[in-house]
Amino acid sequence: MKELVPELHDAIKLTILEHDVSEWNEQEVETFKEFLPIDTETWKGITQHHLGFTIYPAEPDTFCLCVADSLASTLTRIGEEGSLEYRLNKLWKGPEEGRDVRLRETDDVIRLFRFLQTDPGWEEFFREYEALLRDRPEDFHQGRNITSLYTHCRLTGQFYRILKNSSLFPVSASEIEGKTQDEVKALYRANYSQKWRLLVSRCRFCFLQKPYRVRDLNVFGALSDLMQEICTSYADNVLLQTSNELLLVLPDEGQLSDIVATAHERGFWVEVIKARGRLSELKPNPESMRVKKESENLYNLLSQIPPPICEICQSAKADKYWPEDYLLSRLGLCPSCQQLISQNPLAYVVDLLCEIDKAKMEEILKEPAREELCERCFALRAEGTRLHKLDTWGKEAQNKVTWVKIKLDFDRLQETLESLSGGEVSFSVVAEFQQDYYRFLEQFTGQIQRTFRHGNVESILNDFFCIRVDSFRQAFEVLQVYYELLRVFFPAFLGLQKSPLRISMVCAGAKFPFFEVWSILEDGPDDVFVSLQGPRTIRAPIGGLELLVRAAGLRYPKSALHKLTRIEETSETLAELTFQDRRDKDRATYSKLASGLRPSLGFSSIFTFARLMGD
Amino acid sequence: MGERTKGGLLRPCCRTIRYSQISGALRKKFGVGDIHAAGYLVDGNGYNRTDYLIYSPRERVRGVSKVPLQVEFLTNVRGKVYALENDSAANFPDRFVVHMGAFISKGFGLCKLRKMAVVEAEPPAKGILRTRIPLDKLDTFNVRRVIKPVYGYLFEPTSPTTGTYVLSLFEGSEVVAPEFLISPVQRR
Repeated sequence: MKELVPELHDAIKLTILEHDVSEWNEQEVETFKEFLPIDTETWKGITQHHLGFTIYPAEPDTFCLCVADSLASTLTRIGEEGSLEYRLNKLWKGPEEGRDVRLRETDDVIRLFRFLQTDPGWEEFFREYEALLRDRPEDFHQGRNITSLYTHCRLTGQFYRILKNSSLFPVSASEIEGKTQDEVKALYRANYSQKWRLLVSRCRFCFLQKPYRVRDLNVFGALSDLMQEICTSYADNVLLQTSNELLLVLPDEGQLSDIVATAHERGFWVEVIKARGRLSELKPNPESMRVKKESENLYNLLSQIPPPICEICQSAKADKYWPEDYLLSRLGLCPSCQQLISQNPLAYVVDLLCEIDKAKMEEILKEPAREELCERCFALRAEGTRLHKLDTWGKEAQNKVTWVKIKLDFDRLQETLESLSGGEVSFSVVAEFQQDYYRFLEQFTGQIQRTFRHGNVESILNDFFCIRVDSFRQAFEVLQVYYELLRVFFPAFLGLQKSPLRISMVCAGAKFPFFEVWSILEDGPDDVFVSLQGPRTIRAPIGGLELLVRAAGLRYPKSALHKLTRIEETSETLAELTFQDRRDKDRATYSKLASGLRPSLGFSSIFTFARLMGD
Repeated sequence: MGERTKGGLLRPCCRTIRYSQISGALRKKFGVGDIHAAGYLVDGNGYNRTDYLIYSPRERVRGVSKVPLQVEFLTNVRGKVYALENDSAANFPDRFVVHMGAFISKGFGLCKLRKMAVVEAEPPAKGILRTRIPLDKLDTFNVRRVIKPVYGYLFEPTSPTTGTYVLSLFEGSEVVAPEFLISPVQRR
């Protein structure tokens, strides 16, 4: 017999039957009894996972499931229990279209029980009933119908395994078996509110490298690999994930240390915020837990480095020469060329190399300058680029690109969800958000690839893109896609003062130093941020996004835009005066810009808008 | 201040006045080793704007120009420098000039310093560090506690021809330090 599969504990919620089996009427019992999977451990979980059930948790596994179920529920939400509402009503989206989707036909219910009789795993269960699970709210009460049953089931499974696989949460059979319901409730309270503690931690993974060449962007590939490895190894512990940040629930510090050690091993440093609390105190953001919090940046650095220092990461001794060591180890050069290169910088001996070897190193010879690199940066560069399109664009005469980064701010997300719900936010709400966030990113990627054509879009991370453009004004097409998708996935965010989702863009030449682009993308605190290769920026709150998109859809005389940008180059104050001058001959254009943008954007942003539109 | 390109790509200017840079410049100027200073560039009023220059170095022996280099530099530079008050610093004139950064032979990096005031390093407050200071010099600047470090390395000469890179606290670190070295903490 298989072990209890916690994800199936609410399988009966897919039907119109009572959640508590003991409350079924005689006719229901008679109809379904022969189809019930009573011999499985999972059925025990389905029927005994609630302290309020007539058949309460009577074994360590079902007790553990009961605790996991509580941690994964939306019940921490403050608010009166309202009337029943069968549609899902996500905080960031509003009520879904549709009706009560539960199985009501006897045959359908029997089919579910027959399926459960096969003692399925969670993967089979989700494969079979995913659509239904996603449409059915975990709780029908108005105000609690904000997460899907799918999210709740997955999360319960995660918490169940965290508790069960750790020795820190012991429940012996003697503590449970043969006890009265009140005694089990007392044990639950003691463990939930007093004894058992979990560590909630936010980890942000950062790199020290300042990538110069396209090959150096392999550090993003390494970051992506690291994130994937952690998410696979700690699949049950990861509750929210972005491209470089994780929200983790861990039994103790040990696993966190292992994660940090893995990151250090790969050359990343980690910003950690953590708090350890009783289960009743846990919140999906360690910073908002009412317990002692710790925040630290964990590096793995030497106190001194003898020169030379690595030119890319500037945090390790450089003991490799680029490109000489690369050529000697990888390209299989003839002995005489090998000797020349091993004894001299490549740039000095190019003319002395044989033609066959020159042909092999054609790419390298375009930039033969020697660089001193550490082992790790050398290895990353030697991998060869994973970003072939970007590599090609850098070599073209017309090489305008727009870098796009979508960022999720954990702190703002917590604040936003609390304000939208009017109370505290549970893990299940955050997990529900995660799924929509992923779908949003998938759609964004697809839409960007359709708008700009696949060949012009380089996906560096799932939230980070480089797009080849003919004109920088195409940045507004990206904003258009972003706006349309926000309307579909997170319409509630559009009405906020500050959005937890932000978009940052840098319009620059493909050769513009990437680490400069990255620091601009990373630092921008604005909901909408567009930088035009240097200090010229558009900064707008999320409320200004629609205005920007609309204004970008209008036509403006190029001469008027050009005049404004040229004046602004000399003096921003003079440009402001010109912009507001009622007698100026381009008054009509400036009025159009002002009426479209002025409510949300400052003059500096408007001038950058004009510059981009004039491109 | 300006920095050359490398391999056709641009290395931008450092946007603070790091300990190693200003202390080195002052030590060179006054010929004493016991000078400890750090500073930062100030915001606003069009200060510290980025500009670019295309420069073509000439090889005089062969009489040809090399591949042009693009240089990024700052214009209208304005910064504040804080030097530890000791016997060496007490003898600083009220106004003097030092050179910092690259391309000095092309006229870059001339810095005019004017003594403004003596400031107390007390009381320390929590904030974001605006400069770069080696870890072993934190006490010198009364940096009491490092809450969230941003690390990097600064070059420290050990003789006129040798040196080593020492672990240092970079701008952006969250610290408890004298108010003149920090800016208020902003949430990410």
